[in-house]
Amino acid sequence: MIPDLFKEPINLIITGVGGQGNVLASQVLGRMLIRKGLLVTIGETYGLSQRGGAVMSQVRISTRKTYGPMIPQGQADLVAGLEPLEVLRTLGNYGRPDIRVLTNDRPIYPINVLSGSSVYPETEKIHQTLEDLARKVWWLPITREALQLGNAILANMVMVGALIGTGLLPVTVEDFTPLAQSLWDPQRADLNTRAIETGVQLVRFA
Amino acid sequence: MNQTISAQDTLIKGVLDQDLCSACGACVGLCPYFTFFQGRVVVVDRCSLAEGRCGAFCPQLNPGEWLKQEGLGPIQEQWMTRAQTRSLQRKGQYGGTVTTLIQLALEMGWIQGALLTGIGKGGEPEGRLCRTRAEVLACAGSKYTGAGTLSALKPALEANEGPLGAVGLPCQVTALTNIRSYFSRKGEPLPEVKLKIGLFCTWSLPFKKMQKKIREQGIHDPVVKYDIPPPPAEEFQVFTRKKTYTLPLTEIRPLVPRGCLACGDMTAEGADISVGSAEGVPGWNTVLIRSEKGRQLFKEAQYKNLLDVKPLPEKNEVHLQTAAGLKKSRARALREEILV
Amino acid sequence: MSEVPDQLLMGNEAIARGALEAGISFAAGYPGNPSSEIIETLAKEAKNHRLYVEWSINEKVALEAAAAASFAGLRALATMKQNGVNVASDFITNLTLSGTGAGLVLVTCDDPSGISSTNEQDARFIARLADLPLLEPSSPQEALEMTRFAFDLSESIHNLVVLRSVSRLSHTRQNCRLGELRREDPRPRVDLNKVFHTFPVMPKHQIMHDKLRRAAEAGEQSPFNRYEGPDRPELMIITCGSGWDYSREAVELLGLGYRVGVVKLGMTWPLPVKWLRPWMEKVSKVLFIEEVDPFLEAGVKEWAAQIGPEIGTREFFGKESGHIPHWGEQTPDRVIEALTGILGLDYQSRESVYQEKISKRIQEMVPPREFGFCPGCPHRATYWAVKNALHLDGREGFVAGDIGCYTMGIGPTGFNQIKSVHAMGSGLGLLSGYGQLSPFGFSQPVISVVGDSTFFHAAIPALINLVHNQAKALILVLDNRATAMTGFQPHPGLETNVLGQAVPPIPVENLCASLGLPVTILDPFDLEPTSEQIFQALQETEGVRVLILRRPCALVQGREGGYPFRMQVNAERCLGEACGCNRYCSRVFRCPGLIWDEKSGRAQIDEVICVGCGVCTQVCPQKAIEKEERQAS
Repeated sequence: MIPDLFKEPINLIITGVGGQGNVLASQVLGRMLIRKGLLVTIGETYGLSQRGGAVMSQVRISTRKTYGPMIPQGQADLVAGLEPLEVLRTLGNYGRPDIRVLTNDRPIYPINVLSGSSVYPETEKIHQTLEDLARKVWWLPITREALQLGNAILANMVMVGALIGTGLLPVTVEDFTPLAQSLWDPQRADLNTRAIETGVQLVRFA
Repeated sequence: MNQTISAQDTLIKGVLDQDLCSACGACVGLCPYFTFFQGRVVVVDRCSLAEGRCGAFCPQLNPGEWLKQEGLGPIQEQWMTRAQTRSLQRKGQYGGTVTTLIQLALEMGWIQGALLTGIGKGGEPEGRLCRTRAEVLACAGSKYTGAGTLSALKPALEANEGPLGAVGLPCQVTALTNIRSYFSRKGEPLPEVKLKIGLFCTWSLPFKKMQKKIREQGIHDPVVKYDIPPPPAEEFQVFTRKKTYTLPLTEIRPLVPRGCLACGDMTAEGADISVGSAEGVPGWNTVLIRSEKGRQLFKEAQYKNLLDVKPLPEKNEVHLQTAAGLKKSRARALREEILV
Repeated sequence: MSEVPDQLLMGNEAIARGALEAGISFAAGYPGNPSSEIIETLAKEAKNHRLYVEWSINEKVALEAAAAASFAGLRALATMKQNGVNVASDFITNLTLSGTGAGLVLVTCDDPSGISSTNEQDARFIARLADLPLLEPSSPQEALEMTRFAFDLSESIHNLVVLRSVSRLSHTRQNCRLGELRREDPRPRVDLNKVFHTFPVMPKHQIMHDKLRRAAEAGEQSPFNRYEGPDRPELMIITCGSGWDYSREAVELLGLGYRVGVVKLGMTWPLPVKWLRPWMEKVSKVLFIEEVDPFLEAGVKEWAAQIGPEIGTREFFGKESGHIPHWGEQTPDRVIEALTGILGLDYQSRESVYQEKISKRIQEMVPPREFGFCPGCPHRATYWAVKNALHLDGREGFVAGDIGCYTMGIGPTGFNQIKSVHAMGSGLGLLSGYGQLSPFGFSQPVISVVGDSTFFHAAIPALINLVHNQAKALILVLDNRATAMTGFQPHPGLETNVLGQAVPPIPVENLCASLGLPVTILDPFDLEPTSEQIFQALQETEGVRVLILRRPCALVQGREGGYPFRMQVNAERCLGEACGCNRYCSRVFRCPGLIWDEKSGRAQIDEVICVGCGVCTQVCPQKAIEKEERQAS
């Protein structure tokens, strides 16, 4: 039975800085979704991204037809990100009043900020601005949770868990288990599953 | 992005780009954005600070008291001297007085080290921290080329355990005074340069251009000394171990940086003791004692019989005043023209 | 939607799958974004199939190698990015005359917007230049099917077929239904009754055109031409490739489904004019949507002019009319803008109050995010040494750059040292010019930087030229033991190939030695000595000097255990923003592991980002950055 979607299509953007594991996050979500019989398109922007630049995955989810990899301006329904500045930047082109936003609270300072040529806004100001520009904001200590689980790189799976926790996507933690088993050895599958569950809890108790 | 002009920019546009740098090395000394290499100040990176030490130290941007003072500056005593030891006399440019005084200051513990100018591997002059008699002796002799001595100030201050002495050209002496005022204004602990011996100077030459000139003349042996005999000779002498070469002064003058022409401080008016040649008296120095510190050191040298001391002949005094006065008035005129 | 789709594949993976389903035995290519994943996917599959896969030294050799397999009766695939087609073009324009054997397909993955390229170039023109059939898939599923089709077509006409993808297709993942894998084991043999040469040229040229006509027939019959829209559209969008999805989404968002039709062509050279004609007859306005250049636009307009006397004139919109910019990739928003412009409509993607608010906030608050070398990257150290050496030299020297991660030397991360970048190997090529200008009074020293992988790909002929023509040159080979920018593909200087087999490495210094060039090998992490050596090399007045700066890429090092140090800033020694430092480490050296703590006014190490390479200890003017050996864990 193909599940219903809260909107046709759902336009989801996953953003962050190169090296944070964005691409894996979007792939994991994508695979969970197609296993449910949904039509999924994931467009990636990478190339120089690993060298400190921003990355973005644009995910289109539909029951009826396939869409192109580019979300038109102002059409994003949900933005999830591992870096708060990039989440804010994404809203510039893709945001709209009823968008929902889920973000990590830990900045990664661009090199031009570290060198003193640009200014990175106070994270609280980013938070406030997101609240002002979106219908709902989940502002989550994703990296902190990942570090508690043992490694900052788990942040991407914590974020996927948080997305699942919002209930906006038609996937559950149970959908993750068989996928995890096919992707990783038991130890890593278990660690990543715990990361997912942590993310779900973060949103439940936000 | 700040649009304000940085202190470094002021120095670059106002001094370096205008050929006004006299290669004293002060801007380099306490800063990683400049370095001193082969006789010139090199900008390696750009600094964004609006205010900084480089601009405050520069003797061209902040000229010494000479600009306001008339005559030869403050003088407590004046003498004609030479080292008593023959070997020191020979090693020195004229009379070996500076070497003697520095060695004495070290021996008495007044200073723990001295920032002098030696010759580096490639033959280029360089600032050097000296702590023993031998090291001091190795730096004897006028280099006649801009040595950037003060670029070695920072490592010298770090390596040295106590007060430092320094021997420098008038611009370097002014820079040292500027350095002291800067730290005093900032209320910061002062890098201790306790003793400043200044050398008389009409101009100094850029190392690379000098090197090229000498090679063009077919001189390939290492140079041990330069000298300019008194007028009307119009000659520039280059001493190697094997031979002495003579070049017409007319070929050397075009190499003189504008910075030297813009400086009117022939006798290092800001030093504790200023030392130069004794006009018409080879093998002897003219010594001008300017401060109490200088006087005490000189007295010790006399007391220990390290120096032959004679009164400075009147004609020498007059000549010195004339020469210095001429350099000062020319410099003032040039400064008015170029520095608005 | 009654079946469960099989896999989430990216376009490149789908192309690889299509090639396997077509029964290829041979695949070769050269790494280049966005094409690299095709060879990588095939290499992973090679052990499950009778398949040989290699990264060739350049795209011309890759296509030549694949052509040999084709001549011997084995289906073969060659892959590259748009610049690679330029490199292979001399072979292509001869291959089209000689003809091929078993199916041979060239996949070009273009990079509109030049997201990871030095240029933005439309490789489709090779199809017109060499009179080859050209296919443009619009989705990963179609890419899979078109690849299979391309092999059948190639074999039926005995010529090369070109399949053109773009970044947005190659790297987009979508539901894909897989077909049957074709298992054939032909014994390779070159039939000596056939010839694979281009003589006599003119008759062969005519034959080539005949082949193209037969390909056109196949294009007409193919399932890849589609129409969506009303029976009598007022305006028709003619598109191909990625434009199909963008155009339909734009029409849907604007609610123009009853006025605007969208035609997509699968074969875009030669044009399926018979299939297209009925649509052209019905419509008066045509808008072209395609990636990079007005290739399809020009082709259709040519044909429309030809049949003008029969059907009359049309109003054409696209790049030539200015409704679509000549530069940059296509997006649904561009189609929306063109449509609203042509039809005189008003469309707001979001309410103006929100639009204004968001634009203002972004402008005020959001700084750009600069690219930079990774923490621990040897290139940062190299450019530091180069910068210092050139400044000390004082003769306005500069760097002629090349392509790789080190290309970022054009920006602040590499201290803005590079002043020119063109194609692979062009840095050394330029030196053949600069190196002969001394007699004219040219006194600026020029340094060429080239990576190890680029060196093998393109620098060797240029190096030979420098030696043979006795130019004055200083070359820095930045040997980080990797083809890093494109994703760590093997190259001849390394010890394994794409299939994971051990191969004898070819050291750069051996190649130089064979040219009589003495080589100095340096570790760029030793900043002072490296700078000194570069300075000394700059003083030489003639001859070719090669310095190899050898130190593994930080990401490679990371996989092999990382760096040995734990870094720390001694806050007491750190001068921070005060004169004498002014944040020298983070502001000038710019390693992302060095951050600034506002509260304490001191530099700090970001322990999540710093990899512990220890180079920054040499940079701090106060010697405030300290390193200690990590405890073995």
